[in-house]
Formats: sequence, structure tokens, C-alpha cells
Amino acid sequence: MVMGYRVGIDVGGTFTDITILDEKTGKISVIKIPSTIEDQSIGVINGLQKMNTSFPLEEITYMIHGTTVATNALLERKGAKTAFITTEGFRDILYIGRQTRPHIYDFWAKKPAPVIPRSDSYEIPERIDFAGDILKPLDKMKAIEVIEKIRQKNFESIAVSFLHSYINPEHELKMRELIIKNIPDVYITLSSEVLPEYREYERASTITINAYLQPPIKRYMSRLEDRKNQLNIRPKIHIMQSNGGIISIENASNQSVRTIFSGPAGGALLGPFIAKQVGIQDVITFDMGGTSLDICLTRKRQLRITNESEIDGLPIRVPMIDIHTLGAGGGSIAWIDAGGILQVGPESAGATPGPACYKKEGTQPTVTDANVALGYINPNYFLGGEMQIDLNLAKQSIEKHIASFFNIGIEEAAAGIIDVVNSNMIRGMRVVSVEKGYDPRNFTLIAFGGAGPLHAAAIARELKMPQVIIPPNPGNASALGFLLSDVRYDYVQTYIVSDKHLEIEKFAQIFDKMKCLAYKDLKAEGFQKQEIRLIYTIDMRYLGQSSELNIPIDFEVKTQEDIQKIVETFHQFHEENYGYRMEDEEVMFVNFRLAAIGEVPRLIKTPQPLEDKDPSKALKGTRKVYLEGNWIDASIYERKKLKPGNYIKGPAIIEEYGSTTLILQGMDSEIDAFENIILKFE
Amino acid sequence: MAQLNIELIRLNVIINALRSISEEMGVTLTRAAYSTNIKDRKDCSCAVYTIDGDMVAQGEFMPIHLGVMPFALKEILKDYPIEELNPGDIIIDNDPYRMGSHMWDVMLFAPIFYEQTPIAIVGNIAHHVDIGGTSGVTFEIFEEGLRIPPIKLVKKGEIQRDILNLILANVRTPKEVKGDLMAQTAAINRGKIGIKELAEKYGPQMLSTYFKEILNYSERMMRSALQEIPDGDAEFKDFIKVEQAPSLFTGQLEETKLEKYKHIRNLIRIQAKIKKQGSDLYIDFSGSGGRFNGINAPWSITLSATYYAVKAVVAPRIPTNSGSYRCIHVKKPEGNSILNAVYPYAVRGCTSNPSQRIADVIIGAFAQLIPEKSSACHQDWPVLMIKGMNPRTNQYFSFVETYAGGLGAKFNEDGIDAAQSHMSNTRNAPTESIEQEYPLRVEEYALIPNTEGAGKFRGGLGLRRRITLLVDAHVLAKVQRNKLKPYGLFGGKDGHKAQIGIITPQGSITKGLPFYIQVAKAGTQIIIESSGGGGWGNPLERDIEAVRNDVINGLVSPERALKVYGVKIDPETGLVDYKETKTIRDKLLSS
Repeated sequence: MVMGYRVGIDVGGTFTDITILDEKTGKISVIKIPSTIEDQSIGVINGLQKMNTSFPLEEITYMIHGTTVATNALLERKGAKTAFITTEGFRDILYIGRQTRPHIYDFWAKKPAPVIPRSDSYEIPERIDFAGDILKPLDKMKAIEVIEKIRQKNFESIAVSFLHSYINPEHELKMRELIIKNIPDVYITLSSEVLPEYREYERASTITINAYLQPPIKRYMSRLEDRKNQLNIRPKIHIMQSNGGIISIENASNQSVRTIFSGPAGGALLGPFIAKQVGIQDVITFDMGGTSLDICLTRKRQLRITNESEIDGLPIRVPMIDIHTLGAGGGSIAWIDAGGILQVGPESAGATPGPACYKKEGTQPTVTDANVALGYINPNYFLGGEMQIDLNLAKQSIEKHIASFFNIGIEEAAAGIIDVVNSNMIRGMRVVSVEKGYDPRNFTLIAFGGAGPLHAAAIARELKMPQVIIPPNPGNASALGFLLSDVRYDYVQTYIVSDKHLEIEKFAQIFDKMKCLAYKDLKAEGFQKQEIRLIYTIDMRYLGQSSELNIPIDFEVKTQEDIQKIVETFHQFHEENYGYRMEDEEVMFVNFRLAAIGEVPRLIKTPQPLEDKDPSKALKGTRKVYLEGNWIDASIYERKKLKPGNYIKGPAIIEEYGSTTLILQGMDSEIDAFENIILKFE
Repeated sequence: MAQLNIELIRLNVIINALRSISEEMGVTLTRAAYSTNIKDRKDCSCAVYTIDGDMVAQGEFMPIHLGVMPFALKEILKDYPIEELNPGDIIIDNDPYRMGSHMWDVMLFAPIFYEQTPIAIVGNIAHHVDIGGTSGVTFEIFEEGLRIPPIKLVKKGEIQRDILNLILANVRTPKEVKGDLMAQTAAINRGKIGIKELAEKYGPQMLSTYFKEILNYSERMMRSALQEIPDGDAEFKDFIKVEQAPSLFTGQLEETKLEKYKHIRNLIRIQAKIKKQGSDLYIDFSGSGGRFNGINAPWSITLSATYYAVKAVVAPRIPTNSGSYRCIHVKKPEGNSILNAVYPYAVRGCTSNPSQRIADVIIGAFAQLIPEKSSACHQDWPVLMIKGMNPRTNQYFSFVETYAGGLGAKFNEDGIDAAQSHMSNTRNAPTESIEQEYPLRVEEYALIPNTEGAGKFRGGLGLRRRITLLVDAHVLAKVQRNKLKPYGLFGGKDGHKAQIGIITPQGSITKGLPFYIQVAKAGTQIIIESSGGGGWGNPLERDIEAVRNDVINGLVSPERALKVYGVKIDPETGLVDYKETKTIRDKLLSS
């Protein structure tokens, strides 16, 4: 293997982060450059050019890119002019949805607007039943009429979803033939190809979003390719998906719906990576930035994938890492509500107007202001000193808006702000753990993002989590996570059958068909058959239930008895998740899923030798910090200078570029062989 | 004062913790429950109380429990003062006449002790699959199943087997009822752990101070929201139309003398007077109709619907507890009233109507005081039940669905098309899963154009589901807003009526039915059409582009656009004739 640089590029709202792994030395370097929102590829290229000054671009061996182009186009409804074609009698499925109203009490809550207006939805007489039998053949004359209308209205993209097409795609395939014949250059998304999964509303929602995003994504990707080629970078660009895996740039264009939420996926990948490094199994990642917090629970180093996500209220049925997001970050604003109690967030001051201490337009007190006022953040060392912030403005703002209302001291008010935002985040942590049946006491907290390391210790203490890990470069975690991802393709096929009627031949046939596709897709990515890892899972439920559990199949299924073994696994899973099993109830197999993974060889970071415990070489001095109701002296350390093996007793603060770690009283911390900070309670 | 304030600045920390506790009780209950009604529809609520029975936090999924949970415990404490309760006791109760709901809703409550002193009470309510009783029309409570007054199901940690057996012997589905009761006790235990942790952290004394402050805080929130509404009095009435024959258990039925509803028979009036004064709200239901078979509302359910409507108008985003209701004063009608069911009158249907209509009249009254926070009338959900033998599985099937419809318009916005209203927010069944599971074929599932209540802002559209029976089956279909349509406001028109249609296998069509009960032949098509929502303001003042948009999207026909909205649109090009439109509108406005 030729050694060189492996590059992860994450485009965020404010900054484009580039993380560079030197394959020869294992050293990681970080570049930040302002994002260019109107065309993200410009910022990416600017970043690469900046990189070129220290890391020759022709030595790049691998490139992984996470982009918010799809998410932004969807949220701002700036996708392509798209038509929707479905079965006669059902053009309204997108508008009726699941018939619920968005908020029980609020008359003004909005039902999410589908990406395609009703006027661009068309019906074709045709009908296939639940068993795949054709009840009414596709009406060709009517189909051609509809296609002609679509041609005249200059649609750029077309989504086709007929009822029960997951079991029999014949009519959709025929429809495509007719479309190509009449409108050769239009984008076409067929539901039987992108998502052969039952439940017509969720399927239609997913594939219409795919069709809507395909043209802009394709344009973005080809601009990026062109610019990259001009820089003489040879390796192809890989795109991060929301499932935590990467795919080729061509496939990302065709299956654009899979690239939504690629940024948070990068951060979540750090969970299993660090768990493996330090030899633990179960972790929760805590990624707290300026406006939001992403929480992801990982057991046995396996990321949990959900197939039931939504964006902007619209369902998207493609696999995504199960990440829980809430509006709590450094920029969250503290305010007093009409009943006179302190609230924090969800409104954020963001980068502009920004926290009061930023000396911009912001005057409202934020979580960052509270951290500054309490002495946790060093006003002279924000972003390594690149940015000046003002302690007095933070204090004034807290005094004016919070402390005077309660008639208490500024530090007491600031501590109140921290306690309230922490309690909001603790609620979020409990949602992903306790409410799902997991005890946080059995998990390690891995904290990153600009603000994560400041709050992690208090969160862990409240939830009685035994330890906290702060990885190196916590401010660039997503782009680093990209470098840990493998190539991943997901496939699904709905076939609804009771355990009593599922034959092994049918079982094999369903998976064989998906395997063929998988081998083809991964071959195109340069993987040999023997290099591909396949993960089999099945969505199952008891007869009469309305939602499924995803059951992993980690043994080879060859005989009819093996199918019974799957049923037993389902009973076990059901009991684990819901507390009971129903042995005498029929078990339904619903969605058969295959994930194909091509492992990208990555350099395992080698542990460094531990040096002595004394951290004094990294000691910068002491500072008064307000903890547990008192101003006390805390030692301040520079992270860059800390060495593996160093031991620090709380209270203490570790400062670095882009983040600050707060170690509370009664906590120990040490730097491990991989330069992680490990915090433990005594 | 400052010292206490240092603690009170953290009040939100305690509120968050209590919300987590009540939600985790809810999750435990739905996860452990046996029946899909609790698991999937989440027809349950959990709450935390002071030892005086004031509710400080509620993990609530269903608005129908809003008025039950804060009051049922107060009634129980009359029978069992806190001094008579021991650690490990759990009380069970489903008595509609003691501020319970209909009897399917079974409640469990348990005191929590910290070093021998009671510090809090936790409780929950869950809708069981069966509680005994007849499957037909009911007149008296005895026909509706087993009534359980407050009794100890668990004494000092020991489950009372004789009591449990007595209950299970009186229900059709003992396995599910037992499983669901166990899930309810699991939820109680989850709540106990959470509250004890809080007491350990803050001390029982401080915790009780926090409870008191949280109740006061919620009262201040509600009062401050009420302050924003102008003082004044308003009154509104609407009707429930009943289809069954009156019986001995029926009060006075009305025939309206309203101009628009000439000679409609069998109506029950629901009427509310509201008075807003400072930060207090007074509601009086005097004038509402008398009792009727099986749909009388226990007082707690009348309160649930009332609180739902007040919350929706006044403070939709604020979590509520007993403190929030201190400033809402509802006068209980005495004597023969459908809104205050007394022993032994039947109550089973109360959670659909009169609940829906109570919400309609309170919102209608608010619209006169504060139009900017109210809404024109929502649809009332149609119900369809199809039962029979499924030849594919050789088992009985039972398909039940309630339907979305148009929601009411507001002063500045159209009503939502096809959505669930007021007391219910259940999801539909996907067509593909209906056809997988039942011997039914869905022919059509669509918005119905031209059903909106026209207005400056229009009501939402109703929807149509057309289903073919593939086997002979027992069909029951019911719609409420058939003759009495969802009202429009301030010149807005009523929404189009809901109706049932039947197409026989031979092809003969019947439409416009409010009610259908029949054993129907295979090949019969059942058509359910829900009503549109009421409109707001004069349709002639509707924004021309909005009308054009509706026409282009096929929601309103060009003919209707012309006739009702006075907008002339070319059906081919979708272009508006602005000049002609102005002439038509001016003419219509002056006439």
C-alpha cells in the first residue's frame, strides 16, 4: 500500500473542518476554514489549497466528504421541480400522511409540507394486490398521457411509487420504460429500487425526497469532482452517509436521500472507535456544540441503526445512526419565563449575534457566558487566543437579565444557568438510556464538540456514570469520525410472512437477490467478494402488532430449523425490549435487510509509552473557579503539553484549541496511551 | 429571601427531574403492557402528586386524562386518608362517579415514604381491553362491566390475590388485563425509585417546598396566559345528534328551531358560558341537555374536555398540573345532565361525545373573546368497524379505524386538511397493511375537493376512504357531523357534511347516511367521507392567489372558486381574470 494522507472534510454551518491523517506517522492534523454556504465546494477547495502548503495534495490516498447540501436543499425547499406518479385513487397519500395533527394542543402547529405540491402528483390506473398479483394491468394509454403532461411542464425529476410495488415491481419498471422513451434525460426514482419496503406513505415520502434532491446533489458533486481534478488529486471522493458508512460519489448522487445527516454520523463513529481503544464495550457519545447536542448510545461497540427517522416532520425510511438531538449548546440563551423561573434554550445566540462575551451584537446571557463568568473558560485563550472574549460583558449580561431578577449574586445566577442547561441535557440522556431500558451507570460518557468537555463531568456525576473520556481534538470530532468509516451499502426487501409459512428456499432467494446487488455495488468500489462483510437483519413483530423490531441474524441460516432459531431470537429480543414474550403468538417476518460493508484499511493508532504521573510540565497556573457554591483555586493545564501517564486531581481545568475540559472536585483524571483524557469519580 | 432564591433558581432542575420521572413511568407502562391499545396507541397517563393529592407533574399522552388524573386521587384520599396508607400499598380504582373515566380506564396509585414519612404519591391510568359488560347499547353502569371503588390491590407489598382473581373473573381477556395491571404496578415502582432519589438528594423538606413552588409557578403561568385575553363574557352552543331510540334513561331531547337546521330531530344541546375576569376563568354549562343512553360524561371527563379546549386556546405549549387549574372555575350542572353523570347512568361512550362537542363549544365561545387564539370548528372523527371471518387465516378479524377530516380555519391561517381532531390523535392504518392483514381492498384514500368551509381563511378538507369487502362482514359505520356541520366563524362557511355511502355488489349506490349497521355481502363497497373544517371570515375576502393555488392543486373547483370566492380562473391555463374577479366580488359584496 502506498502511504500518504487520508483526509476527512466536514462542512458545517460556520466552519469547514479538514482532518488529515498521516498514514506514515499516524499523526492527525486539523485545518479550519470558513464555510461557503452558497457553494460548499468552494470552501472545500479553499481548505485543500490551505492544506497544500504543508501536505502535498498529490500524496492524498483517500478522501471522505460530509456535506449538508442535501439537508439544506430539503429544509429550504430548493430541490428540483419533481413530479410524483402513483396508483389511481391514491395521489393524496403524501398530503394525508398518517392523518395525525402535528401538535395535540397548538392550532398553529404546521403539518409538514411534502416536497411535491398536489398539482404535480399524477395517478395511473393500475393495481397490484398484497400478494403481488396484478388485479388491473397498467393503463398504457393513460400512462403516456400523463408522461406527455409531465414533459410539457418541464419536470427535472420523477418519483414513481405504486401500491405493493415492493412485492412486484413490474408496473414501475414498465412505467420507467415509457418515461425514458418519451423524456430521455429526466431523473427517475422508482420506489421498488430505492426502497422496496411496505407502508405506502413512508415509502412515497422517502422516494419523493430522493427524487427532489437528486439533481441538485448531482450538480454539486460534479462541480466538486471538477474542482478536485483541477488540483490533481487522484483518489475518488467518497461521501459520508447518515448510516455511518461511505459510498462512491456516483451512488451518493443517485441515492441522495442517504446523505442527509452525514455530519452527526461522523461524531457518533468515535463511540465504538474509542471504546475499542480503551477496551470497553458500552458508551454514550455527547457532542455539544454551539447550538445543539447530539447524543448516541452504543452497546458492544455496535452503532445502533434506526430505519425510522424523519427530517422536518417528513419520514425517511433509510438506515441512519440512531442519534438524539436537542437544542442545548454553548449559545443557548438563559431567560426568565412568564411564571418567573429560569429557562435555558432552546433558542440559541449562535455565532451571530453570539453570546454577550463575544463582543458582537449579542446581549442576552448564554451558557458560554455562564462558563466564562464562573472561571471555567479562559477569556484570554478562546480558540487558542485567536478570539478575544470579554469577561465583564458576560457578567453584566447575567447580572442584568438573571441575577437581579432573583436578587442573588452573579456567580450564583451563572451556576443556576449551568445547572438548568445540564438538567435539560440530563433529560435527553435519560431519553436515550433509561427510557430505552439501559442503565447509564453501565456506560462510559465520551464527550466532544466545543462545549461537551466542559459539561460532561457534571452530567456523568448526576447520572452516576463511572467515567468520562475526552478524545484528542474534541472540537473536530466529526471530520475525524469520517476517517473511521467503512464503505457501506444497505438493502431492504419487504416480504410479509408468518413463521409458520416461511420456507427456507424463499428465505435464501430473498437474501441471494440482495447479495447479488451488494457484490455488484462493492465490486464497483474495488472490493473482492472475500473482502465484503455482510450483516443480515430482519424486521419482525407478533401478529397484530403495528411496529417491528430489527433482529440481527448472526448465524448461518441453512435449514428450516434455523428459521425457528430466528424466531427464538425474536422472542428474546422482544423480552429484552418490552419485558415479555408471547410464545403462542404467530411471529411475522416483515422486512429483510442486508448491509454490505467493505472495510477500509486504516492505521491503528499505536499506544504510546506511559510517562510519569507528574503533569507539572503542562501546568499554566491557577485560576479561581466557582464550584459547589465557593470560589476555589483550580490548576490550569495545557492539553498539548500533557503526556500519556500524567495524572491530575480535580478541581482542575485543561485548556486546548477549540475546547476546555472541566475536572470537578472529587474526580481523578489521567492521560492514557492514546492521549485521551480519562475522568473518573473517586 | 436571597437564600431561598439561590435554591429556587434551580426550580427548573426539579421540574425536569419530575418530567423525566413521569415520562419514564409512562415508558415503563407502555413497554411492559400486553395490549396494543396501551403499547401502540399509548392510551395511558402517569403522574406525580403531593401527599395532599395535588398533581405536580403529568406524563400525558391523551388529553382525555387531563381532568381525571388531578381529581381522582383527591376522591381516593377521602376514603383513604394518607395516615391510613402504608409503604408498599397500591390502590386500584375505576369508578366514574368518583372522578374516574369510563370503566375501561383503570387507575393505580401508591404513596411513597421516606424514612416512614409519606413524601409523595405516584399514579397512572391505562385503558384496558375489556372490563366486562355487554357489547351492546348501555343504559345503566351495571351493563358496562366491573366497577371498582378505591381498594388496596397491593397491601404492604403483597398483592391481594383474592381481589385480583375477582377482577380477572369478570373480564373477557384475563391474560391481557393481568399483564396490563402488572405493567401499571411496574410503572409505579419506577416512579417510586425516581422520587426517592430526589428526596435523598434534596431532603424531604426541600422537596415539599419545591412541590409547592412548582404548583405556584404553574398557576402563575396559567394566570399570565389568561391575562392576555380580554375580560368579558361569551356563550356558545352546539348539538350532538343521536341516532338510537330514546329510552327510560333519556332526558329531554330537542328539535332545533334554528333557521339553518329546520326540523332536525333527536338533538342534545351542549352549551357553555365563559367569563374571563382578570386572571380567572369561569365556565358554566347550564342549559346543556339531559342524560342519554351510554354517552353521559362523568364530571371528570367533562373537565378533561374543558381543560383540553382551554389549554389549546390559552396555553398550548405549557405543561399543566393542579396549579394550572386553580384559576379555572367550572360550575358543575346538578340534576339531569349529560355533563355530570350520576349513579347509575351509563357512561361508556363519553370519551368521543360529548367530549368532542364540549371542546367545540368552549373554543366557539373563546372565539368571541379572543379570535386570534381560537379556531373555527374541527371535524368530528367518523368511526368504521368491520368484523368477520378472514379466510386466509381462518380466524375472526376486527378492523377498527377513526378518520381524519378538515380542521377549522383561524383568523390568519387555513385549517389543516385531513387531520385528527381534539380528543384523539391516532394514526391511520396504511393501505398496504390493511390489505395484508384483512380481507379488505382499499379502492381510494383521498382528500375530497370542495368540502372546505369557505372563508377568508378556509377550513381543511375532509377525506374519503373507499373499501371493498372481500368477504361477508358485519359493518358498523358512524359519522357525527352529518346534519349539523362544523361551524364557520365571522362570516366563514360551515364545513361540508360527513357521510357514509354504500355501493352494493350489484352497483346500486346509497349516499348521505349518518349511520350504517349491517351484515354486508362480499363485494360491497363502504365509503366513509369525513367533514371539512369550518371557515373563517368572508370567502369574498380570500386572497386571490390562495384561491388560485387551491384551484391549481385541485382542492377547489374553478366553478366553486367563482361561485363562493368570486374568483374567475381559467381551468385550462390556471390564470386569474383579475378585472372580472373585481367586478364579481364587488357585486357579490354589495348584495
